[in-house]
Amino acid sequence: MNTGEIPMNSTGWNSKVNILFRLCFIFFSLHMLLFALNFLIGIFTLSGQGLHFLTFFQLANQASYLAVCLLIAVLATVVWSYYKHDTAYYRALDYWIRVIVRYRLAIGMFAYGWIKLFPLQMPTPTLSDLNTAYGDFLPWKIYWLTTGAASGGYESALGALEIIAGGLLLFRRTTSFGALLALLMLTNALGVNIAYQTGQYAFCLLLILAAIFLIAPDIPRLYRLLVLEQPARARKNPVPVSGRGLRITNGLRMIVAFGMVGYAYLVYTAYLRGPHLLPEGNGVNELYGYYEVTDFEWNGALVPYSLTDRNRWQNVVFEKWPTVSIKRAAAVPMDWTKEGFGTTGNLDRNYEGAGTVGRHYFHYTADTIHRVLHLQNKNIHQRNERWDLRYVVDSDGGLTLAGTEASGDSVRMTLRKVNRRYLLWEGRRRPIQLSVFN
Amino acid sequence: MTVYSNTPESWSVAERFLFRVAGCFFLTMCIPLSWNYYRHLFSLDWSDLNYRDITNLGRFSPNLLHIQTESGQWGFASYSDWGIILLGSLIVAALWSLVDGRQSHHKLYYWLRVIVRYRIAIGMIEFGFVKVFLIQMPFPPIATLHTNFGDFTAQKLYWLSVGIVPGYQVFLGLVEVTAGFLLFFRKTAFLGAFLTLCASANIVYINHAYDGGVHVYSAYFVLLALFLLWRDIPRIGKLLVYEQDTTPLNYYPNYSGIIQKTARILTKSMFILVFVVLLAILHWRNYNSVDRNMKLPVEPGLAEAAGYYEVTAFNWKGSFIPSSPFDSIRWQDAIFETYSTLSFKINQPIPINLSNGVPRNNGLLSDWEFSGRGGGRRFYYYEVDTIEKVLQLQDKQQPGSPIPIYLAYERPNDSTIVLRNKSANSDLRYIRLTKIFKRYPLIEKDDY
Repeated sequence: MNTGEIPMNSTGWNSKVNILFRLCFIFFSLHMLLFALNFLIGIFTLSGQGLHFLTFFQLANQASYLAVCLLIAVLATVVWSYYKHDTAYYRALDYWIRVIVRYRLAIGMFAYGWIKLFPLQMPTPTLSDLNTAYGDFLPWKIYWLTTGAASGGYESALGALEIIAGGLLLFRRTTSFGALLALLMLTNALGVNIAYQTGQYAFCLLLILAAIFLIAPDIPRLYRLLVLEQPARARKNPVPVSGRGLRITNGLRMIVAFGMVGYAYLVYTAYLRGPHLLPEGNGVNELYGYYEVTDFEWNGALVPYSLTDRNRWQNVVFEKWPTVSIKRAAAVPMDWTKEGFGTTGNLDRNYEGAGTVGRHYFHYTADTIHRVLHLQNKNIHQRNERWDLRYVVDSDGGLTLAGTEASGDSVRMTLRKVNRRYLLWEGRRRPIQLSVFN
Repeated sequence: MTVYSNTPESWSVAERFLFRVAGCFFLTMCIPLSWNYYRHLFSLDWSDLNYRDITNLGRFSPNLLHIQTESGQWGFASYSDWGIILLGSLIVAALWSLVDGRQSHHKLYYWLRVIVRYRIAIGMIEFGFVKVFLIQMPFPPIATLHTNFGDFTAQKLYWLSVGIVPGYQVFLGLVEVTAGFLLFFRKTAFLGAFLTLCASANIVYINHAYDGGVHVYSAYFVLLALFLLWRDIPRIGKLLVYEQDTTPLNYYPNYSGIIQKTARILTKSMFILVFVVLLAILHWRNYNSVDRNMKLPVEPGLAEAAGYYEVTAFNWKGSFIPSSPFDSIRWQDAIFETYSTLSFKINQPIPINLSNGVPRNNGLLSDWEFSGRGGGRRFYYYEVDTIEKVLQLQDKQQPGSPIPIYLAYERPNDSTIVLRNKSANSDLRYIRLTKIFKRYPLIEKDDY
């Protein structure tokens, strides 16, 4: 800052900044190379039904081999710093790597922003979730459910901020604001990811590095302006390219912008279809609800209500989709999935049962003519548990279930439908009186 | 250091009026208006302080109207105090403009900024320390782990979700403390105000999204922070967006006399000493004391009894009642906490405590463990007579009922507790509790 006028084509950096720049340049270039390769492979292996926002979400999420990239970058920086001391072309290099990192960060922010704006990332808690004990969830699931339970469009507002950050990153003059907004949100997200053990650290960390890289040149001038309260110099010659270079930049921006619009459209259509993490289609409508199991026979013997009997069903939830969840004392093997939940078939859509051991989740098909339910345990460790249950609905919504399990055990039970009131939905704005169920 | 003392420029008519409005408005916002505040301040026993004494000094905001409608408590109308103060400020500013012929108020503007800075500082630090010392959002007790997700209010769910990750809560608290501390110094005021804005804006939204109830108070800090940032926003725009060299011209009064300097240093030191050093010490002492002021009780419970119990026998008027989730008499389970609370599930309607839960140093009065939750659980505070082997139970949810219940306890083995009712006029005779050894993914996390 004290060297007087800087020639238009020189960066004016000292040797430490030069070394740091080489490191960042190689690191981000390597990452972008992997990102682009992965993206192209993903696009060309796209089949017809692959045109789903998840495909692009996963491509945008690419953050593998970061440690390898960093290692190579360090080695290459050493070599580069040893042999090359001509820094005349660094201004152009700096310009290009910034353009690319800006768009990379923007893509990351858009990928997560849109699925929050149209709340797909964290669905509203299901009826089964509402009837699962708090201590039976892993912390990440509590975080997702709590965010999903917010009202007033909280998740959407977070998404909107991420999209705004991405939008600001598409333009050089607003990049600092976009990068700062992104940095704030990502820092909080990294804190959340670590605290709740969501298992997603690399991608968050990559984007934080990108945001820091983008803001870094503005830190000294902001420091002078806001802390020292002294005159601050603006960027000099911020666009060291012209003609073809500018057309390339504008072209890239158009690609990212149009890509984002297409992605937003795919997310929106998915949003209209319903939460993609939860099973699709309808269950048996008249069965939807919460039931207490009042009478229960196991292989012909009556089993009284018990918190510890492994076979005794305590209560049952029929979701709106073809899932039934059962509370019983038998242990549930933990489904450790934290990302990349199954989205193909309803049996594989494991989000509802992931990260919790509170209930046993079953996918079911119904023969509504003969009034038979075919249940299959959704847990990957218990898929061989299958029930065939005849059902009778009585006049006050209660159920009688009777049938056998694949291994030969038989049950017969009476279910009493309970119209539960949930304090979560009742709210705290008016005085309320509740017992166990309502 | 460059100090641009006595900036020559005068303000336009609009600027002068705007400043006068802002001056009245923010001064009213930043000065404690309640008489109770000063009564509290002057009745402080400085030889025997509790952290809450200092906390209460940093926690105030104008509270003129008490609108009892839904919107007045949770929605738009809850901000109406601000509207009234703004209206009053407009009137006062108009009168002021009539009588005051000065062309600028650089000095007043300087002082207004100082007052706003200090107001935010003590508020944010006080608020942050409550998180740093894990008071605001406690780790869930056993009864909470056995409450269904849907049986909590949204507010409770959010607070619990922070309570389960103490490290994150400390992080959030440190951000607030840092924001406040930076505001004590002119040079770091922008950073402090910016951090305050980010932290508080998120809290405002969360309070609206989860009906947290402190939306107005957190929005108050957003407003004050915006006032501080206001001056620099055009400059940042000029520097970064328009890419022009920018020179900040800020007026600072020349207080270089020895008395003025001393007064400044003393005042600043006093604020830092009380709201940072003293408050931290008081928190630390409270955190480590036996009768600490927390949201959960601290009195130790029955030794080696903590856990979740199935009720394996329940005798009422001489006959055993079988278990049923619909039963309004029979206990369905029982929980001994590590502290002296016994809770059990029973199917009787009870008015739900909807408060946010206040820290208490008396287990009988602490309500955090059952506030904002339904699901039919009843909570009793108890005292143990280890010689007679009797628990004296007191209903925590109905503080009006003074009659204690006396239950004699036996421990036939490690996992069984037998309770016999000693009270004469009761139909409850005998309860046998059998411990269920449970592991919680919420606590064991990735080691589950």
